[in-house]
Amino acid sequence: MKLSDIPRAAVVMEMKAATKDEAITELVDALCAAYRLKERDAILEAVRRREETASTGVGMGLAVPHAKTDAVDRLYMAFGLSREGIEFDCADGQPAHLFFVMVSARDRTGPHIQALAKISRLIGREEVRNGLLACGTPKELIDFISDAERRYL
Amino acid sequence: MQRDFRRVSPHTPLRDVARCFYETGQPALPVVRENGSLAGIITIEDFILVFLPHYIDLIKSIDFIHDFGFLERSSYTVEEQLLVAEDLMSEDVFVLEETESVMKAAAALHKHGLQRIPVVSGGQLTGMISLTDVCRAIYDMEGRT
Repeated sequence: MKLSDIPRAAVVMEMKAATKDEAITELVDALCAAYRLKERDAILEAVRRREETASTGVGMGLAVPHAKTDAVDRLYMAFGLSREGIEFDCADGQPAHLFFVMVSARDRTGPHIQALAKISRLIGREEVRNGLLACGTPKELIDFISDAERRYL
Repeated sequence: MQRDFRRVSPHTPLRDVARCFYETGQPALPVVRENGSLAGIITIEDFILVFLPHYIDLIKSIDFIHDFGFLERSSYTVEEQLLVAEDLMSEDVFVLEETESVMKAAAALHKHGLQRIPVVSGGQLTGMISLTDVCRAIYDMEGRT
């Protein structure tokens, strides 16, 4: 799955969450609504449990809450943006602004790893992070990601 | 069966997983929870997926690629912050009970195309068995030398 395959309905341009747990809940709700996933509680629980293992607040304004769970049969991704920033136990102590939430089937480790690696490669670039923050609509954002994938992946 | 092998916990960071692979030469690392039960297994192939371009499985030949561009970098800061053993491991793991026969182990290794299989007893990981161990057991090499 390409990152630009994220449907526009799964892009939250102005996150309302003020805390880490609220952010995870808001992102999982957006993910479940966009893909019409029925196992919302199980997905939320899986993402929270993974977060307890180690924070997915990478630093550089990025967080990637994710989990493998039996509640889904393949990889699903959503994106959230918070211009104000949300405290997310990031490695650099700074708030997170860019959020990729991702869940995949428990027995599909390969696609899960590859999707995390793609996010890492793209968001590791400062110009990509700044470009995402400058987007105003879901269409703009997905088009930007698509262009970045062509350039860098 | 090898009882002396490196294992990692679900929250072991990527860099430490890498260190375990290259220090031990083990092709697979069992991921073990605090209570000693097996959470999953990471193969060296799973690990390398982090660093390979996604298109590598889609092309028949890599002969025409002369430069992997920015993928050939020296820093993996984001990957190191983001990934822990739990993310890399396969949870659907074939295991053998400690009481199983040597030939059952040999058949399982061959049938599943595995290099090593975790061995458990009472739900706890107790060892790893490989074809080398099977070979040793069949010919009792340790007893003859």
